[in-house]
Amino acid sequence: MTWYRSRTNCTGIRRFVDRREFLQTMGGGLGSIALVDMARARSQRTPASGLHHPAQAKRVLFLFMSAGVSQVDTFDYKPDLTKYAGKRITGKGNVQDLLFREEGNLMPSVFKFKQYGQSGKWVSELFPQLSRHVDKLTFIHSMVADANNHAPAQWQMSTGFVRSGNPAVGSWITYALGSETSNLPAFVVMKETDTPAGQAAAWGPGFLPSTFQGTVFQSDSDPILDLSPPATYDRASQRASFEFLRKLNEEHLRTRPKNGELAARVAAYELAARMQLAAPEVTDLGGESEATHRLYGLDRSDKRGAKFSRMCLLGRRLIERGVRFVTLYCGGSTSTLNSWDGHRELAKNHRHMAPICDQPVAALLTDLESRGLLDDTLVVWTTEFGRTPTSEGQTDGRDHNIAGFTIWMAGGGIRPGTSYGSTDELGFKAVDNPVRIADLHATILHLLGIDAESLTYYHNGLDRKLTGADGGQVIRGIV
Amino acid sequence: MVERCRWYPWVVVAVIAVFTRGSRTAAEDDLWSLRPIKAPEQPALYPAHRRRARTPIDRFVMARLANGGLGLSPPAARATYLRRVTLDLTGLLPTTAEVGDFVRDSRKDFCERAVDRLLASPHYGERWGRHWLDVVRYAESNGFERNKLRRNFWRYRDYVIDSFNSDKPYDQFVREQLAGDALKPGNPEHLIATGFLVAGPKNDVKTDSELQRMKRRQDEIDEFVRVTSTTLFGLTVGCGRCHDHKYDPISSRDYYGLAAVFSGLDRLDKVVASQEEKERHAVRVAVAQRKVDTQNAELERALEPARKRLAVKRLAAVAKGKVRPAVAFARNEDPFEPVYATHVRITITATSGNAKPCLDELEVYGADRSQNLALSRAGARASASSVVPNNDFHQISHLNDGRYGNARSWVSNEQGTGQASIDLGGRKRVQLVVWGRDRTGTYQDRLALRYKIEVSDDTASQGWTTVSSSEARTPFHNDATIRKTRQEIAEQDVVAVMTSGERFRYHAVRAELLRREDDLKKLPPLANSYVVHDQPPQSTFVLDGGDVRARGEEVEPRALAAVKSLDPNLLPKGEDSGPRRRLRLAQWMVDPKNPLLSRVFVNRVWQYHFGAGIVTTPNDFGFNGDRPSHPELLDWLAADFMRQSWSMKQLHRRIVLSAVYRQGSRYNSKAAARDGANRLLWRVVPRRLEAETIRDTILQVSGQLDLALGGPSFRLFRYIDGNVPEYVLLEAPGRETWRRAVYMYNIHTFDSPLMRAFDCADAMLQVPRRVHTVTALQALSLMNNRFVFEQARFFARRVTVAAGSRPEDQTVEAYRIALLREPTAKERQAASEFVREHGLLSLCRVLLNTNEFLYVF
Repeated sequence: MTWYRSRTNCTGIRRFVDRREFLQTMGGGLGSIALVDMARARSQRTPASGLHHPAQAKRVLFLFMSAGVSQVDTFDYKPDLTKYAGKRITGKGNVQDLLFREEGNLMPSVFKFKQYGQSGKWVSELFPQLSRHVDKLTFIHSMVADANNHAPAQWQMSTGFVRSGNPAVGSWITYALGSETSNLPAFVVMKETDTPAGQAAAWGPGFLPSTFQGTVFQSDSDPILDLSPPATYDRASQRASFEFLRKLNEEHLRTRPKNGELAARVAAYELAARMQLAAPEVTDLGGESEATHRLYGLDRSDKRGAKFSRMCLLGRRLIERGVRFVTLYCGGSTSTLNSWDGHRELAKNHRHMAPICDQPVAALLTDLESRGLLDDTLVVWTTEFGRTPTSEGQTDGRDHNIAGFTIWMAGGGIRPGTSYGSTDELGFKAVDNPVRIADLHATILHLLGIDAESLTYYHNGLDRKLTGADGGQVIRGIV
Repeated sequence: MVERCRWYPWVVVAVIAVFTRGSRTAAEDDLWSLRPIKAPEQPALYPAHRRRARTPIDRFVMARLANGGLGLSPPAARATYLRRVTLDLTGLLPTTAEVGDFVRDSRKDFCERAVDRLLASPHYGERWGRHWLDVVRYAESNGFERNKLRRNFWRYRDYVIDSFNSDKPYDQFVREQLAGDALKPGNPEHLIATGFLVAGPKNDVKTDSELQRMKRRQDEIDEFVRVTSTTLFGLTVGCGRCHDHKYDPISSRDYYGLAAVFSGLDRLDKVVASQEEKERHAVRVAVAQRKVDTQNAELERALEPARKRLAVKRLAAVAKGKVRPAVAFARNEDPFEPVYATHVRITITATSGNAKPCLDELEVYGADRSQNLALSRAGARASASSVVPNNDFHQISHLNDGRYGNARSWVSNEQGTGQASIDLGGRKRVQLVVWGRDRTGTYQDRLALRYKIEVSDDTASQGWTTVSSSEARTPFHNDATIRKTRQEIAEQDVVAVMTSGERFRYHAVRAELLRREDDLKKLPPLANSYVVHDQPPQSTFVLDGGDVRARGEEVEPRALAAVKSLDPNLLPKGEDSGPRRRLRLAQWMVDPKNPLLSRVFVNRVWQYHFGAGIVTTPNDFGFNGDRPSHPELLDWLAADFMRQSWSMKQLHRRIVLSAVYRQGSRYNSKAAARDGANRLLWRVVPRRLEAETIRDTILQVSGQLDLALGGPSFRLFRYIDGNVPEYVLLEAPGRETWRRAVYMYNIHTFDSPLMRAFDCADAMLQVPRRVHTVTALQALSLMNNRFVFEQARFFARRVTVAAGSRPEDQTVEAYRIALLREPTAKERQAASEFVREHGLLSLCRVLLNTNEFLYVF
């Protein structure tokens, strides 16, 4: 909640769009609103692409584990916890200030850990398939968040701020870079169950124009809302209607020359007509081999797992077709076993959730790599906060923990096989190289060739930035 | 000097303006918006321009245009003007008849008449109320994770609409919204008005962390400060939460001074009725309740005979299997196997009415029924656990005196219990005890219901042996026990045993009772609304960097020091309370010497009429905001607004009757070359309709728009309440949703997809100006959305009813309704052909998608 706090000053570039650029975005799909401005505004040398510096990643797959994955049960191995089992945390300040609910005793993980890969990364038994890919991954063990309940924390991870109403990372990136396809939305969101706590505010455009909102994609045949007319309506009439409308609008335009916006609407309908064809093509998995289906686990008997498998495969198909930013949610609202929110029976919860994503995420890494897509696709596996190394009160679950948690990234310019930062011996607080969410966001933008400080949008008296007034530091140790 | 921002209606437009930022001190005393408003002289015009200039506005704008070698565009066609001004003022389309009348009106003041008609329409308030709701981030849910519905907050929306419709003076409008509760305590409308302050999000997830709670509270206070300052000052005071403003003369002290005004402010959904309404409501409830009560008594009477019969029958059924009769008041016999005894006693453990037990005589017999062995004169002696004191009638000696009647009886001194013993004065063979409450049968109370009779034989050193008791007796019942049994009988069982006559009466009485209960239930509850709720003000400190733990200097409630013409001190004289602090702020705010309030408001109104304000950053009149394109005009409007007693309708009249507003919207390459962004207003820029207007006019064209005013919001979702409620989009919302969009529920993170596609205001945000995007998803929405399809079908039906089945006629009618004009011959031919091939529905849907329909020209 500090966007107006200004250590640097609040200067920025007033960002507006002129008609020509606007049309480029609409029609050509290659331009972008912010980019042109950024390039023009910058005094230093600008790469020909219009980017701040050469990009290592062109697109992002954002895998969001909803409601808080426990780091000490997954990727942040803390053997000392066994030694301190049943004791209280001491000497770490006011613990209660960091917690959401009641403080309990230290509780070691029930999961077995083993070392994997060249990097010798310790991973718990929850991820038997993903653990084979550890050498591709970069772990950040020292993430810290500001809000200890779900919705604000998900907003912070998704938009940079703990309050709703701010543009999602995906919105900022499509605002900056535009899209590489005009047939599909530039920023797509998919859910495997109901909507996570942050709801649509986690992929909304905030104060950016609604063009940049995340579009919710269903994994079935009519993936976008209102993509097609009611089934009873004749397809030929649908085509003819688009055509007749174009004629009427063009005729009208002739009497009103030089009206770019009216012209843009004509283009928008053409684009819509193309989208009607392109979107169902994405969700038609008939062209994917049997082996691919099996690799992702679409054939799994577990329906929920199979759905997430399908989403991961669709994620790959979407970015292959030029979509800029894809968010896939694993887990939804915080009802029992629906998300990673293990306040009670943590072991049972994580044993239920991990298999949903283990195989398809591993498959995604294999598949992207074999298609040469991993080089310029940034995969981010994240959650809004971690969980405490203690039990929650007298239960066998764990409370929310914003003082230290783990995420990982892969592909797109990330240094593979690394672990960055660390928590204390209990896995409670980030002690070594703490990474704020603004730092993570700055790093993601950096990998895409964008300088977080220069990407601004004027709103309500301020030049707003994804990383807020305090800014974010690119995590140099992993790029 | 770099070119400043221009504005195009779809997205805020561009020219890069890297400001050569002044130093902070430059802004400090010299911020244009803080200078006092001086009504400027109206500029002189060239003689050639004088005839065109209708109003002072025209003089300012035309003088400026003339300086740049430009002039106004030719006036818009009458039909174009009427469509524009109707959409602007009411958000609805004119009817074809209205257009026809207007075009043909030969009176000199035809425009004034049309504008007055529109301003008098209740739909004016719906349109302009929505603009205000955008600015104050009106939301009918709490936001955050739980996002609970605010079911009664629509009253604030109606308050806003009514305020516009009644042309409430703007200073009064502001006073009511900031401090209505202090202005006229007990006035419900004024309390509802404070919804302005509380409309923002509220985090109601519980946490055990004190620090988190403090942060949240600070966030809430921040909400109050921000909505007040951006809406009414047009300044980004919020910057002061962490540091002195970098550019504007706003310090952290100013920020926390405002925070102090709101330091005890909380919010609550509470009753907003006046005292009189409360009293009237109480009377109504009491009257209805009395009607229910009397009818209940009537029902009792109707049930009584049958129920009594049934109760007796039930009691009789219970008695089955019991071998001895129930106890009686007059005389009871307790026979037993003959036994030798020296003493006989009776122990009573329950009595009728739980009264102190009374025994008239206790007689003991052997085989000889004529010889009462208990009589005192036979040598026996009576004793008791207790005797009711000071009562000649009820002595223990009366127990065995051989005389009957109440005046010769014994009463214990214990409620419901007592024990009486007879010493037989020797060993006797006994086999019967006879006793009664009143052997004469006069008194029917104090009867022993539960008792036992015991004997003992001293000579054999035997203890007490029970020889008889109430155990084997049929339960006693009198009216009281019958009543108790009756209460346990279900009504339907009683009805089952009714005679047909009884049943007839019963049904009539029951039906009337249901009606009366229903009347009681249906009494409209007292109105609730989401409003301010004050706790005592808290000490407020400047927080270093906004950190709740870093308390600095304590501050008193105060307004902006930079407004030099006014005293910033807001500490109330006399009693200090939250409402009084807010009242002081309101008084400060509406003081005519405050240059911000009127400037900011007239600029908003201007913006909604022209698409861009005289200052294009309506919420930022600070150094980083835009400078006014016509500073003198802005000040003239602000001064005139105050002079006209802050009348919003007068302000609208000034604007929409000006030649500037009445000019055409055609592009002019010469003018565009000099002023591409049209900041000098050489034309009116075509604008897309807002999301609400698109939905409303589609319904208008289809003939399905329900123009009912006010009341609870309609829902496009199913609300599944719970700890974290869910909002599920309805697949097929019904007719009750075909109302104006201003009556749609405004939910955090839940928009109608159609509305969202057309850039509706986000309930999470203060939206001082809508953006207008053009996207493919928008096109898909407007072509394929179920709502559009459904309404296109109604539109087609309406056309058929009016024009019959010939495609040519249908085309003409459809154009008239949607586009308010006749099709050209060419259009008519092409459209008729299209109808022939693809149906009228297809044409209707296409017309709703045309630029001509979706834009104001």
